[in-house]
Amino acid sequence: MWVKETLAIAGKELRTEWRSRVALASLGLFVACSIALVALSTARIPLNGEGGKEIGSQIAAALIWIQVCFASAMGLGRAFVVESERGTMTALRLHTRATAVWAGKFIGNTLLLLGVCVITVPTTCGVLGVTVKHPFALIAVVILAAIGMGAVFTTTGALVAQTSARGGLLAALSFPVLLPAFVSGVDGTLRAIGWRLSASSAFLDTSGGILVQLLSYAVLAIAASLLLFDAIWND
Amino acid sequence: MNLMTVELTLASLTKRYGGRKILNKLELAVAGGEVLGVFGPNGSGKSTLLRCIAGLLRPSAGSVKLHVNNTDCSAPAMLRSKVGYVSPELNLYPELSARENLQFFAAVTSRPSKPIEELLAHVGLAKRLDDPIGNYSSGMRQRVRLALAALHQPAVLLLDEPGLALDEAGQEVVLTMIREQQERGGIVILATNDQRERELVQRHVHVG
Repeated sequence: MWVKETLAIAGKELRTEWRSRVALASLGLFVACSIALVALSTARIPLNGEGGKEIGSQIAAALIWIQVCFASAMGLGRAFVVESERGTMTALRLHTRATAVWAGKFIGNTLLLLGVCVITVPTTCGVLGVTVKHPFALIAVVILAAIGMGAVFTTTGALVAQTSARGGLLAALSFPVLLPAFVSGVDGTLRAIGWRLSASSAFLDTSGGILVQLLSYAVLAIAASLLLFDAIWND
Repeated sequence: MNLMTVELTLASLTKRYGGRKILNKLELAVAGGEVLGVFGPNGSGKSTLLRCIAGLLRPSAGSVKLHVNNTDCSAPAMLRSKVGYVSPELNLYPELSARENLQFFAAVTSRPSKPIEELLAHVGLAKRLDDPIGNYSSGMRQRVRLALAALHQPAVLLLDEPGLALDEAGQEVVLTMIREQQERGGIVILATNDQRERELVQRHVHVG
């Protein structure tokens, strides 16, 4: 029953977003603009020579997570604000359980975030001429970080929807909580790209701890959100 | 038709916004089959009272107790699942059609009383049920709200200005809904200024 309720809410989130394209349009524009700016800014930096690839890897890891962070703040934080602004929150509160609402919105947000990553990660690496040495490790890092970030943005988005100072508050509330995920995300991306790892090094032998950190962060973020959300939703 | 046994009791119900007392120690007992009117001027607290009963607002003091078929349904989440609520402030998803909106809420509540098409036909929307709600007139949106309120055969039907924006046929739908709720043994609480709706009220409270 709870799973069915959650999936119905996630399905509604994706369907309404697909038809209104409010978050998709802002996310798409942001991603396109940021990639174009990265390409223009780095066009004259020699990233192919000795040492250049290392700089390219570092820039790629930083830029990927900067883009993901800002795209999330623009798109994901609105999940509850939209309900509140449109007056659909009342119907949702009457007919659904708090944790199912959170889980449904979290699934919708995380899928949207993964969609952003699917575009930004390969494009940024491509623009900077970075070759990913451990692509499966990079996929794992991105998925785990996106799950953790999706959970945090869903919860802070719900808190922010109940206040009047929405724009600034979301970033102020989310960023300190997301810092561990960003640190691990950047580190994991660098290592998956192959920064300072010999070609023969296995990712898991040297950097498996980062995946464990990201997994732990995601589990903690989901558990804490599910525990807190009832109070946020009902008060 | 299955008759319900419903009892709603408000004990010293108080709601304050800041220093202003909107509801002050309201005492009320409503039995199944009864139509209770809530009257008062604009801003007197009629909607606040309905939102407290629906479990959407936490009272500052006092309590709302609901028993349905001898089961205590007073916890806010349980209370919300037992009420049908129609209010101008309740909106549905404009990107979805009337059918999709109701299908969504039927999926999350898992207890639609009738097929959705039948519910929508009942409120006079049989011909436009696949149009996005964003393209509806305000009267048609009100009809979808009425269908949503009836979706799970609620024990308590809370109607806040239900005739708002409705034409003659729409107002007849409201009156039919009230009579059907009465016949099922449910409670109707009605905040209205419409004379025809007021005629169905058996007892009333003044707020403000």
